[in-house]
Amino acid sequence: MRIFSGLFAMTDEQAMWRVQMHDDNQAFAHLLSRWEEPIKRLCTRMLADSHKAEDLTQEAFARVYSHRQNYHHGGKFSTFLWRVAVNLCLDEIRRIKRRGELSVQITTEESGDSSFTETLPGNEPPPDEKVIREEQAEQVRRAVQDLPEHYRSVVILRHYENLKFREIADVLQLPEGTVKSRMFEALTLLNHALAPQKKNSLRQVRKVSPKEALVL
Amino acid sequence: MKHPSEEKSMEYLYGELSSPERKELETHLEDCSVCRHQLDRLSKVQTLLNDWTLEESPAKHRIVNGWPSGLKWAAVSLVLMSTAFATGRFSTPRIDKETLQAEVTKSVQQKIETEMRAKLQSENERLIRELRFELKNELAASVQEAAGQASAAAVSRTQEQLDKFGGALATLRKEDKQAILTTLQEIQNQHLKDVGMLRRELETVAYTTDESFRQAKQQLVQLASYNETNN
Repeated sequence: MRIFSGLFAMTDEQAMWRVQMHDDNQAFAHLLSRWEEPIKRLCTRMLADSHKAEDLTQEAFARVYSHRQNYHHGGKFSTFLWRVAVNLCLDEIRRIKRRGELSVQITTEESGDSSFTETLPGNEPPPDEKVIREEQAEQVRRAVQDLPEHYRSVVILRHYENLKFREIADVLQLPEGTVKSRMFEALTLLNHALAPQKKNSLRQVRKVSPKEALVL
Repeated sequence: MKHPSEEKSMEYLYGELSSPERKELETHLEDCSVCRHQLDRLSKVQTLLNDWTLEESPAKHRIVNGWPSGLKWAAVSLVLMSTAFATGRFSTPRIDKETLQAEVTKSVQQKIETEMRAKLQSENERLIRELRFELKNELAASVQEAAGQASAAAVSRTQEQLDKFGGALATLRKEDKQAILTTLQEIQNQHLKDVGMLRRELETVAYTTDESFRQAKQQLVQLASYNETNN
């Protein structure tokens, strides 16, 4: 039954139209169930904080609902939603930076992570491979976190959420060429940050320009 | 071909190039070790990025796993049935094997049936619940709307009646006033007429009295002269 309902389900744009015209709560619930996870993933990756990400996801949907009249039917609903979410994340990052909260948050996460790995061996010694993989994931997470936001948003949307460059350009309201160059520069920075010999100097990434990083 | 631009490289790495463009770029890579090296490094970064995965929230998992367990059974039964069919088709029929196949098929079918039934039942119940809730809401909304309309109609009706009544009252009062005015006019006219008549009658009375005075005076004079002659 779910398969059939899936086949005949309304598109996001149709659902949004119902929300706009009739304040249709069920159509909004449909949009929420379809997009809640992707938006939460985006926020989690942008902020490296799953609690804040959850709050921001809720806020993004609340904003979409309260600004529902601003949505124009020429564009895709997803573009509208991604834009709202990305902007919320950027606002939040700016706020955190202003409060100088970022450094505190990173240190607490580090301590949290180490205690996690310490408690694991008590229960069951994990295979080495798993540990290595976790370390790698952590390293990648850090490297992406250390990217400047205008690179980070492009990497997350293209690499993790699989949006086409054209769509990202629409979301960020930038020329498509700019998005592609940012992606190139971001990958170059990441290459530098993740190169084995540079493992312990992730913090230097910000000081190296993409061109220099490419040479390195 | 020239070295590909940064943009072209990105389109290549994320599979957004058209196939002739991709072929052209790949031909260039065969010849140009600098570009090959660069794209190679960036593609390794791409692979590394995949290491960072996020866990989905448990609630979602439950929903996502809801149907596949049924589908899993369907797949299992399909495999079993097809192997059963194949062995049956290509082997000399033996009774115990056939019964075994039949039993396996039957048990799998039963399992699927019970599972599907449970799923359908829960789905149905959920739908019914939703429908009931929706209908109730709609009913409440329509009742409220009807009540609102009825009260609005009543109010406007009352207003209309009141207006009518007010109008009627005003006309009545006007008519009364008019009637009183005409009556007063009539009374005044009558009064004037009466006064005129009275005056005329009084004048007649005065005239006749005057006449009779004069006659009496004359008679008195005659009487006096008669008396003088007698003396």
